[in-house]
Amino acid sequence: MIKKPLFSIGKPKLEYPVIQDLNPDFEEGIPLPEMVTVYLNKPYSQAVEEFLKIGDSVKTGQKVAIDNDGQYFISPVTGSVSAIDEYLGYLGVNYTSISIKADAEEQEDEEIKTVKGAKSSEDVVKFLSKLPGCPDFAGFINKKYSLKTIVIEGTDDDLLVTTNQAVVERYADDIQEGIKTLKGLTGARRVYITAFPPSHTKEWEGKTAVIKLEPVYPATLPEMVMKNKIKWVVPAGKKSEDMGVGFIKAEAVAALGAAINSGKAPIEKIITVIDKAGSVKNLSVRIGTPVKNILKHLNINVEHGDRIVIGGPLRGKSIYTEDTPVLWDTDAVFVQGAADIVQSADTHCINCGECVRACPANMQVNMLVRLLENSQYGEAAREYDLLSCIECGLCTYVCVSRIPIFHYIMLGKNEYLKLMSMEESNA
Amino acid sequence: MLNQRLFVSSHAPFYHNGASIKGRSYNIILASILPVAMGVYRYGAPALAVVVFSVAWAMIWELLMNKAMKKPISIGDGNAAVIGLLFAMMMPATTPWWAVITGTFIAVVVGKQIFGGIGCNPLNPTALAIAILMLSWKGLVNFDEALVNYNFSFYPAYPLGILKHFGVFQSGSYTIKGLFMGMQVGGIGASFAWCLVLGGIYLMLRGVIRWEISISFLAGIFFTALIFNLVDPSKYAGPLFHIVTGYTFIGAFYLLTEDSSSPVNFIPMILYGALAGIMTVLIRNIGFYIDGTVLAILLLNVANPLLDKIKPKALGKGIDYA
Repeated sequence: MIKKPLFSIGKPKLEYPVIQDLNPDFEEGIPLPEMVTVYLNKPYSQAVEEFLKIGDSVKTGQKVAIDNDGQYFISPVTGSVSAIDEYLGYLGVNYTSISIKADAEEQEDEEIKTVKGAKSSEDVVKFLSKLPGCPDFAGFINKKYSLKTIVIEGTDDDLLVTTNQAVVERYADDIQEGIKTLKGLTGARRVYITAFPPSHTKEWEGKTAVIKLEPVYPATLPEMVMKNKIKWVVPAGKKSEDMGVGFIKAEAVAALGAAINSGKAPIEKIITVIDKAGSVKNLSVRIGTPVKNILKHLNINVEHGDRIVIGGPLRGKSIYTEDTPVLWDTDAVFVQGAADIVQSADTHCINCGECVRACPANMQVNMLVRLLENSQYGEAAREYDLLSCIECGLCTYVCVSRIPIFHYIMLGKNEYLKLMSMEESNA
Repeated sequence: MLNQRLFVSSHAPFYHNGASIKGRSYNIILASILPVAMGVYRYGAPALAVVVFSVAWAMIWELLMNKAMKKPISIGDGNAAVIGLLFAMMMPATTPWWAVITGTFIAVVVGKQIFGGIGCNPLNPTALAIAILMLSWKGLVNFDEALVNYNFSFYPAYPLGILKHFGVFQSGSYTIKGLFMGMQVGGIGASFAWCLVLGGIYLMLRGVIRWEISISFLAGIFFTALIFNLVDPSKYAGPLFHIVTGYTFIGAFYLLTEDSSSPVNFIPMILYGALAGIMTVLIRNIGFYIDGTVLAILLLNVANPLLDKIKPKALGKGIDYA
C-alpha cells in the first residue's frame, strides 16, 4: 500500500518498478495443472457444443475450432474437454468457457509447427489469432486499421507489474524476429519500443527506436505515450489504432517471433505474482492455469477476506474464485491481505479537488461523479468529458470521500456507449 | 461447497492513499489547537466554555439532523466538530449560551444539513452563522462591547472598529508587529494572528487546504488596501494593518478554503481568493460593516460554481483526426 506522504501539495507520484538487470526471480514454469480453462470472446450458445463435444481429446498446441466463422483456440495442454459453459465477465460480457482435463502425458500437435516461417497474414492468423499479451492479434493486424506506426510496450501499464520488462529482458531476440514479421504483416513503417531508461535501451540501439518513459504512473498508458511522446493526442472516445498507431505488448511480439522462428505454440503466459507483503515474482505458466495452482506453487496463503486481483493494484480486476484462469491478457496476479483493503464509501463528494489535480486527462472529476451518481451519462459525456478518461484509477486512489469513482466511470462509459449504439441502430 | 473462504471483490483501484474526511477534519482541529489555546489563556475559562459548548452543540445538531433525515450518523467524520470549533474561534469569549446554540444551529442545520450534509453546502456554514448573528444581534459580535470587563495590557479596542469610527490617526495606537503577535482583542481563536498563520502553513503543507486560495486572498487584501492607502493615506489604513486584523487570517486559512464552497481549478481558485480579498477591503473601507471578511466569503461562495466553469481542456476533447 502506498500512502500519501506526510506533506504533499501536488499530484501523487506513484513509481513503476524498474528491472535493472537480469531478474533472478524468474521461474520458467510450474507443474502442469490438472485442469485448464479458457474464456473465449464469443457469447455462449448450444452451437458451440455441436462443434466441440465434451470428451473430445485435444493435444498440446492443437487448433480447436469452436464455430464456422473461424474462431478457435490453441489448446494449452493435452487432455479431454470436460466442460463447456457460459461465463459472464467484466461489464457483463458473455464468454464461452471451455475446460480441458489434462492428461499426465503431454503430446505435441505437429500441425502448428507449419506456422514457422509464415509470411502472409492468412498463414499467421491461421494459428496465431490469439497471442499471450494480445488476445485479439487477428484484429490487431487486420487491415482495417492500416497501422502506420507500431509501439511495442516494453513497459507495463500498472504498478508492481514487471511482466513485459521481464519479457524484454529474456526474449529480446524473439522480439526482433517478431518486429520483422509485424512490419511485413501490417506494412507499418515505424516501430518503437517503450522502456524506462537506463534499463533496456542498449539492446535496441541501431535496431528499433526507443520511447523513453519516466517510471511514474500513468506514463506507460497508450494515451499518455501518444500525448507526451508521439505528440499526437488521441481524440476522446477514439483509440490510437484509429489514428494508425497500434500498441502491442512486448510479450505478444516475442510470442509471434518465437512462433515464426521455431514454430513454438503460443501457450505460455508470463505473469507477475505480487503477494501480500508486496514482493514480486515473474513466472511463466500455461494459459488456462487456475490462479490457485500458481498461489499453491508459490506458497502464497490466501485467507477469507483477502482480495485476489487479476492485473495490478490500480487497473486490475478482482476475482471471486481461485479457479479463475490465467488468460492471454493476464499480466499479473495480485494478492492483497484483508488488512490492506480500503473500503469505498457512499459519502458525498466534498469537492476537495484532489481528483481534479490527480487526473492526467484534465477531467472535472468532481462534477463528473455527481452526474454519474445520478445516472446522467449523456450529460456526463457531453459536458464533463466522460470519454476522455484513460482509465488510470488515480482519481479513486486519492479520493478523500473514498467514492468508487473509477467504478462509476467504467459503468458510465459502458452505459453511454450502449445508449449510443442503440440510438445509431434506431436512426 | 466446503470451501468457505470468500474473497473481497470490488472495482479497481485496490490502492488508496489513506486520505479521509476524518483525517482532514482532525488536521484542521489540530491546526486550531494553538490559536484556541492562546485564546483560552488570554480570555480564561469563559472562552473554554464557549469552545466546548459550541463543538458539543454543533455535533448535537448534526446528530439530530441525521436522525431526523434518517441518514447514517456522520458526527464521526469530525466535520461538525470543525464547524463548531471555527464558530467558537470567531466569537468573543463572553458569548451567551443561547447565542452558541443558535449559531451552531444556523451553521450545521441551515448551513449544511438542509442542503444534504457534507459536500452539499453552497456556503461556508461557519461564515453563514457568523454573518447571520452579526446582522441579527448587533452587540453579539461586537468585541468592544463583549470584552468590556476584561483588563488587557495592550490598547483594548477592536482595531477595525477604531479604524472605522475614528480613522487612521487613532489606529496609530497599534503596531503591526504587536497586532500580529496578538496584541488585539477579537474572537477566541482569531486574535492571535501568528498562531493562525502557523496553523495555515501546516494545513497547506499537509494538502488539507489549497495555498492558491489563501495566498491569493491575502494578496487581494494587500493590493486593494495598498491602492486605497496610496490614494489617501489619511483616510485608509495601510495594507499590513488589514492583513493582521479582524478575521483576515482565520478567513484565509480556515473559512475560505472550505472544500465544498470553494473551487478546485487553479485559475478559479486564484480568482476566488483574490476577489474575496478585494471584497473584504471594499467592505472595510467604504462599506457599512466593520469587518467584511465573512460577507465577502459568502459572496464568493455563491460565485464558486460559476468560477469553476473556467476549466482546463480535457484530454482529446474537441479534436478529430478521423
